[in-house]
Amino acid sequence: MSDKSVLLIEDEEDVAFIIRFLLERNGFAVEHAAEGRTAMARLRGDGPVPDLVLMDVMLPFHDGLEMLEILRGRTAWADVPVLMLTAKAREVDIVRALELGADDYVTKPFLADELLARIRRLLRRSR
Amino acid sequence: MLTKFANRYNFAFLAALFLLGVLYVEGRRTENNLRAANADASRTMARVSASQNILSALQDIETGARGFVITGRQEFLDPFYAGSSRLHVARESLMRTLPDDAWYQRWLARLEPAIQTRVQAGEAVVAAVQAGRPDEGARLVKSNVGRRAMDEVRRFISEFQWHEQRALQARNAGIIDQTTRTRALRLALLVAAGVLLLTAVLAINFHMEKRRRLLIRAREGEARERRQYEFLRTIIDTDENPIFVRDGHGRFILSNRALGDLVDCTPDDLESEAGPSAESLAILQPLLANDPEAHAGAVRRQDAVQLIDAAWQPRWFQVVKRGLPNEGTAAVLTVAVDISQRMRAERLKDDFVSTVSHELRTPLTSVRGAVDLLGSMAKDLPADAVALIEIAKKNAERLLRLINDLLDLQKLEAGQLKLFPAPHALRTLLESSIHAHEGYAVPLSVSVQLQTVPDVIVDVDADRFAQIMANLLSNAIKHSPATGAVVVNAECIGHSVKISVRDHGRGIPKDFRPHVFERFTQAESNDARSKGGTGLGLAIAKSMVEQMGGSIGFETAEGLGSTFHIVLPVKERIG
Repeated sequence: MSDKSVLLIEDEEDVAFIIRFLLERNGFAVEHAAEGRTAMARLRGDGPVPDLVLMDVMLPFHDGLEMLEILRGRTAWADVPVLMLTAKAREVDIVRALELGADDYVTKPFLADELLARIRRLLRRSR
Repeated sequence: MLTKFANRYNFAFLAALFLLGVLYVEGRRTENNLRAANADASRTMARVSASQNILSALQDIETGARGFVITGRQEFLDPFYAGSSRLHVARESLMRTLPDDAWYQRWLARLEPAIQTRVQAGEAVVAAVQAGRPDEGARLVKSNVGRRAMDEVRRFISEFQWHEQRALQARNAGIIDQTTRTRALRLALLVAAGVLLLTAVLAINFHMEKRRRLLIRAREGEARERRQYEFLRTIIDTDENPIFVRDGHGRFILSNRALGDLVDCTPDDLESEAGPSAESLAILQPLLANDPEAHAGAVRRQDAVQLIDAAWQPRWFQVVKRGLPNEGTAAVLTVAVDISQRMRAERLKDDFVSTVSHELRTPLTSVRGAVDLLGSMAKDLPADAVALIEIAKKNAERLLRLINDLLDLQKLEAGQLKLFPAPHALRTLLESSIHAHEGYAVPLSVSVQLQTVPDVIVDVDADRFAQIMANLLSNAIKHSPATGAVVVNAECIGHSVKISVRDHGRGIPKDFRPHVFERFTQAESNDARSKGGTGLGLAIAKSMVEQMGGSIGFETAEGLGSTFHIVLPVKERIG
């Protein structure tokens, strides 16, 4: 079984490290975009579409929700499962993300097990 | 209407006028009397002079006759004839001026024959001489008939003159009498009129004085009013909240500087005849709305009325309106408490809270994640390391709980916690809460039991209900002795359900009981298990329960334990 690829869009270095550590330990190939512009280029570009996108809502230069809209606008990326990471405690933001096309969300700080479980669930469904 | 003029001053004036009238009449009468007296005197004079003329005429006749007798010359007849004609004229004049009195008739009756005798004597003499008989003439003259008659005439005339003189004197005396009499009356009248005029003058002065004093008082009153008005103006201008009174026609009867500042005008501009400009009115519109409803004298409040002021800044006001029935047609007082600061502060606080929460959570994510991962590598680590990792994990959890609790409490206090109520079976909710805490209770050898639960449905936000129950349960478990039991019970009371969580711990000390639901308060305890709480749990639980429309409370007995209960409305019963 080929490794599932995950595109991680997260600007916090430490959080990214932890997530990458966790995912790679569990057999995922992680591609990391550290901030909005790189991420935007990746989303718009012609590179391979990952199996899952793990995205922070609050990013410098580009809003996570904005990128979500763009992502969903591209046919190739339309079906990719997107898991939002959000530190925002407000329900309104979560609801907004889900409405814009995110498949699930995890609030920070998250438990490693929970994150893995949700990722796996999303991947199961999209198969 | 005429009664307005019926005062004593007008009567006095009329009386004075009457007195003056009397005086005038008196004066006229005297004048007429004098004139009559004058006329009388001149007539008397005429009579007297006529009588004198008669006398002198008779003398001329006598002289002429005598002369003619003596000399026989013609020129002595001139006085005779002249005298005769003069006599005739004088007699006529006397007859004319003689009053129609008995005395004068008698006197005339005596005078006439004497005059006649005298004239005839003269004529006889003259005739005799003319006839050429001078001796006869002389003889006639010597007979003194003429002379005797002349003496008689003279006597009569003198009597007449004397009589006239007396009459004149009497008349004069009479006039003097009359004048003297009326003088007293005139003086009296004059004095009376003078007195009345004096009183009139005094009265006028008195009233003028009174009027002057009233005017002064009125002016003082005006000045006082003006000062009070200025005082009021100063007060309302000092208040930074817009205050104004508007009447039913939309005119600003009163306004203050704060209102003017909203639209960059002065209060005078707003209160002027023309009123504020159309733009100003448009800006103020949110504060002017609902005016007509308020004219009944009732007080109306509106929270958080927003408007954009002349400087394009958003402002928020809490508006209170009251009808002022005595100040004009449908006058309404509006006081707009400026809560812009508060609103802005709240918005800042909201942003702050949400920013802070994000900022706090991010590093916590890393800590928790790292510690979590370390924990999963337990088998590769020395035993000490594992213990340390456990400590880190526990405290990361604690930190996270604290952040969440703070945010919850913040939202509750701002009234911004959103509840998503839905109907749930109470039994289900309680069972899942208890189940969730088994992991906590079992290691502490505490058992959690669910006793009776009525079959009811409650309309609550399931997550928040679980949060409340978690709070009560964790407290109960924390304070239970080993092998103790925590009992959860629910019973229906009227349209509500009372859920109790009972522990058999040491109970709540008396000193702490008033502070149970306060923030950051925890009962003093040496028990290690008590540590780890945030001190916010019950404060949050209370606030949340109350927002759900319920209540929270407790009973406790030292040494026996405590029972915490919440009361919630029941949506419906099943079965």
